Amino acid sequence: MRATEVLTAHHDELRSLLSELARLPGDRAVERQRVLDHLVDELSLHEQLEDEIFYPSVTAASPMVAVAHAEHRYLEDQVAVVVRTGPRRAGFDEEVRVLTAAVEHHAGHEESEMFTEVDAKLDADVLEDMGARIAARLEELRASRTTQLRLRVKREVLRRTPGGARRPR
Amino acid sequence: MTPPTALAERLTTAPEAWEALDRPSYRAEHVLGVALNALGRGRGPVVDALHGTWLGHPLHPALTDVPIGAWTAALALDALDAVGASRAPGLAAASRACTAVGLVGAAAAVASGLVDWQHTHEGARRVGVVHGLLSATATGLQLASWRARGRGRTARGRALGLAGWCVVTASAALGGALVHRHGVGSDHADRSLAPRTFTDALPVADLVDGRPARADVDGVRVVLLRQGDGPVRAFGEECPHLRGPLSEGWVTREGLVCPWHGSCFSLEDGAVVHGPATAPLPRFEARVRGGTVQVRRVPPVPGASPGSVTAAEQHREDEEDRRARH
Ligand code: FES
Ligand SMILES: [Fe+2]
Ligand SMILES: [Fe+2]
Repeated sequence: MRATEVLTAHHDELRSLLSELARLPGDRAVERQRVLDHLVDELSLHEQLEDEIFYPSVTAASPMVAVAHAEHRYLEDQVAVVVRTGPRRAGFDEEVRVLTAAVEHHAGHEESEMFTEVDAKLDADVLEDMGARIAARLEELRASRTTQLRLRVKREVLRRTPGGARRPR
Repeated sequence: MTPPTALAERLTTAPEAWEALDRPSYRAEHVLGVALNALGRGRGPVVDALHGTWLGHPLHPALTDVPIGAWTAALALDALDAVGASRAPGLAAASRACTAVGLVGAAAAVASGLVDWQHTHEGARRVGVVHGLLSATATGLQLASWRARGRGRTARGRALGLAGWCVVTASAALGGALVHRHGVGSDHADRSLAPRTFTDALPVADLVDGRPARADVDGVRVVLLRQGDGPVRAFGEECPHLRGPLSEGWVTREGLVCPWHGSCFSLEDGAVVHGPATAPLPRFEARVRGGTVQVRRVPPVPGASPGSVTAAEQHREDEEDRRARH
């Protein structure tokens, strides 16, 4: 698969986690927390793959890389708000809605503009090769104990910041 | 020989092309992001205060006057003392006090500079990295100077102070380039007066509840928004921060959010709710006539317009509209 296809497939995973989160009713806080944890981790990994592999390789092919970095930063900040709010508070749905809008904007933009441009400008085998590297790196990160620990620490830190919610149990 | 102006320009623009700075700069930004998010709900107020949303323009350039001014004063006092031109006692102590005042100002300037820098792109971002490194170096030199002066090693303290002053001056030159060449911190919104009178924007049926829509009105790009049965609101499409496209943004309980760096603007009047933008979003009046949304510019200085062409024109238009509707 081309790098752009690998990333688009991962966008779809993020989208389905977001809609699952929106679908789960408010009284199922434990499940919501579980989906949220998963979403936060996958989003972090997605950003990491793009920051480390994809964006640096396409800077010459697309003028949108700087904006994409900026949007990742916004996503990180909004993730922090969602995690801090927690699934039992009244504002949670609203904050998830904002995160969804931001993810949709960013991923949609990548797919409709950056990826099309990159597909048109880079050689097919370069893209295939990059796709394989991204997919392998994603599997590697998902399986890595250190990465799991890092992501967990990140979530816990964000949840325990001033104004942070208790974890539902 | 190269004329000096061209040389200065070459020096301040050279870092724009240093792409090798990008990786470490994004790494550093990630760390900064985590540190700011660790402030929890305190992050918003702290970051906005440092951007200067309360001031209407960036706080950072104002803060930098403190270290540069204080360290320049220290330099002048050192010079007076060294040449023995003044018999006033306590020059050395005064100079050390100035160094300390500069250090306090520098800490505040570094904090505000970092939060502004994190939302810059490409060339400006790279110049910003060098500017930040130079400023940090200057602060380190002045700190060493302050300590040396405290231990009575006056000559060493003066030499360190002079070195710090030279480095901070170089850094200030880059800071100037960031503002005047790259427009970091300046207002990027379209502040023309067009359209002065109501002009068709788009069919009201094109507006989706709560979704910003873009329209081109006489060459001015406008974002239109309607929530439920509320009024149609219209603002400038280009974010005052760095021209992010507001029609691609989203609405939260607080206002309209820019999709690039998350500046948030009040739906009432376009005022800044959250930075990095420090200037308000230009506002337009909107009305619906015959199923079409029409907009016209709200003059930027309310109350100051009587007698101006725009005010007179808009007044005449309102009169005609009133007559037509009776
Ligand atoms: S362009 Fe930076 S917040 Fe809008
Ligand atoms: Fe991305
Ligand atoms: Fe992506």
